[in-house]
Amino acid sequence: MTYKIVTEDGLVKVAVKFFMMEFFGREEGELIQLIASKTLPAEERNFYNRTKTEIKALCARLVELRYADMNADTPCEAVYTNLDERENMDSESNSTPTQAETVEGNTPLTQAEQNNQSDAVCTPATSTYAAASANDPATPPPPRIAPPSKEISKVVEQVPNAAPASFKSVLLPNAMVGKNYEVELDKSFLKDNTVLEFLLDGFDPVGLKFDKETCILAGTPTVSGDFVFKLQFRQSTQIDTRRWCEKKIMLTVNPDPKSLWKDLPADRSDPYWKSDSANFGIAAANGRYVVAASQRGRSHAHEGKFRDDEFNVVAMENGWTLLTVADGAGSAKYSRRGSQIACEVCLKKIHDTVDQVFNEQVTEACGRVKTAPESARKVVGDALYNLVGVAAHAAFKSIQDEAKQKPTAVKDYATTLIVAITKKFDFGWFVGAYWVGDGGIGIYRKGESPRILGEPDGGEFAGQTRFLTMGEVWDPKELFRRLRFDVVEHFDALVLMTDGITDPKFESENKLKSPDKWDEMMDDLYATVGLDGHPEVESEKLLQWLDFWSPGNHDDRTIAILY
Amino acid sequence: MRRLPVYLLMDTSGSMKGEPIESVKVGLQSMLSTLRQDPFALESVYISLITFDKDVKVLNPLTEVEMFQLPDIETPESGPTHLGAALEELCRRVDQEVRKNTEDEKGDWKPLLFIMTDGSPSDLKKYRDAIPEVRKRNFAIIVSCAAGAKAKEDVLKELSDQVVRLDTMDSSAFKQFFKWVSDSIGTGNISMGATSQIVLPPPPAEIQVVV
Repeated sequence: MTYKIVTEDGLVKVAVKFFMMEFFGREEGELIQLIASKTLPAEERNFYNRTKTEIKALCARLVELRYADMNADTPCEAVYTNLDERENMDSESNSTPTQAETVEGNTPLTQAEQNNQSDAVCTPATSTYAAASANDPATPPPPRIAPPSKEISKVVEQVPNAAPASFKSVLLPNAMVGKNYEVELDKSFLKDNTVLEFLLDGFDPVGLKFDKETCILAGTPTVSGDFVFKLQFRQSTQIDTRRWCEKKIMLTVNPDPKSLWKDLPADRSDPYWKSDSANFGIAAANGRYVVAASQRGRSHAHEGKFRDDEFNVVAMENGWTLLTVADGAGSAKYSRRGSQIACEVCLKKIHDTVDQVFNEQVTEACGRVKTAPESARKVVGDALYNLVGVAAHAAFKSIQDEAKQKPTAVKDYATTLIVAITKKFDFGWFVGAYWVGDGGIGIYRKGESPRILGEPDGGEFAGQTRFLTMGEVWDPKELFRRLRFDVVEHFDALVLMTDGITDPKFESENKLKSPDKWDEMMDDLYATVGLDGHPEVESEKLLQWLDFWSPGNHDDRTIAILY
Repeated sequence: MRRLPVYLLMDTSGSMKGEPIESVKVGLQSMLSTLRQDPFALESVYISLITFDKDVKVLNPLTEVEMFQLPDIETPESGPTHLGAALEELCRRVDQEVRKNTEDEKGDWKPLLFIMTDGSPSDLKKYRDAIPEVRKRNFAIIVSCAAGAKAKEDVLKELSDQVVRLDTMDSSAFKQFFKWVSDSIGTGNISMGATSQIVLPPPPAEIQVVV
């Protein structure tokens, strides 16, 4: 009869146990001790000599897999198959048994076990499972769920860095400076009867305390780094119980990322120098106000790079309010200038071209938006195309001219652009918008769904978006697609944002449409900035609000609010 | 939060046994320490460590730098180098772990791939079949490191243009290589933008770029 070694922990052990019991009618621990003491009866010894490579291999494999307690209930059938393929197991095991080795030397188990306990300075004289069977099932081993039997798999999932059978907590979970830390060290070992005494300290410099009673290591670390602590202990299972053993315990304390972000000034002498921040507030038509702010993000500050974001606001006497935000592409070297040109030129063009004709077209069309929606939308669309679409294109042309003069490629000025124009008419507030790139624009009213004026451009991966400077966005159909309008009777706020705001506050395209997410942000703004008729001081507060902490979100941040 | 997934494929075949694999371990530890001091890496970089010899082992599934712990890395006595199988497994892991932009969830940055081998793939056909699959996964960088005299650069070039060579396999060389890897991953290099072409920082003296 032959038996195959399968690779799952519990099954190998059970294989040994039943193997032994079946052939020798003995408990395995007893067998090992018999082998060690050389008092194996002749016929058994003959058998053993024939099969000792198997037994050694089994034992070596056991040790290698660092067995836990056995489950006597595991059925043998789940374990036994043909041993002819044992070669597989042999080549995988680190300790390949050799024919030259005889039983008379060290017992294979203890030797192999010693080889595996690289950190420990001493080893218990008897193996754990031998002790368990010697102590007999007065205290049966704890039950364990038998894993399904598997062939030796080609791809093996992470086998955790298992500690030797004794003390398990050699690699503690990582900690962080300033963050509460608590972990229970291997209590089952430290409180075990065989452990006569143990010492573990040295945590003070890190800011942690170890409680010997509860075996809990806790505290708030004060320094970062990689630390090694020594657990010292004496065990009753040793030959010399006065001798101290040692185990190393490793702990990594991460720094707090907040403390790592630097703030370096950008190059003042650069021809395209731009300030790290900007803010603006103004009273607009019909008792409304505009506040806007833009702040260089932590990732640019860390490297002394420029703010690539920009905004612009124009409050016109004729009742029109124009707003825009733009986000220069991180990889485009002059994008800070691109966003600047886009914002200035676009609003200036709208300011210069919007006229009574436009107002009349809009009024006429919106008058029949309920009765003849299709044609009304077409009229407004065309009007917006000629006003806002043309203005955005003018911005693009300006960038092209600048690039030609430099000279350099247009894409070096790549930038997103969101533009909104709004005016109160008799039929309600008219809001027209143009949107290329990421970020977001929405009309907010508490208790209602936000009205999002378009869709963000995004690819499959983070950072992929479209820019004003890309040829493809100027295809007329594309242009029309990016022009939207809405008519509302009331609204609390019209908000334009770059992705430095939408990423942390909304995270996804779907959440941009969520009234709850909008409430969260607006409630925060009402509480910290006010938004109650003091635009100049509020724009300062808005700038400070832009400094909020959001891990992983360190882009430039820009927001413009008409309320 | 947007994550930057980084995949490390390390050769653990028999020829790496001894000083080479120990040097790799030291280099990896050093890389982790460096990344932990970089605010962007500490918050956003996720690392997966996959080793290959006869078997492919995912030692660490994609794990944030903050929680990452280097496991024990073992090498068999001898045996083949199944880089092809490793690439296959890599594609499976990427499909499982890397998040794409959806309407509900923000996606990850394009993943990065660093491969280190001291020989050439024993499963050459599988390796070649896997190459187009790897390309489909849209890695922003694929860098292969040919370590030592026996490594075949031409074969590695079939996967990616970015091939570097380490002449020696001692701890200093590996440390430099892994420092270069951390520089490529860290703040200095990853500009938050639509980077279709990530530019690698200049490599240190111990590393020669294979043209």
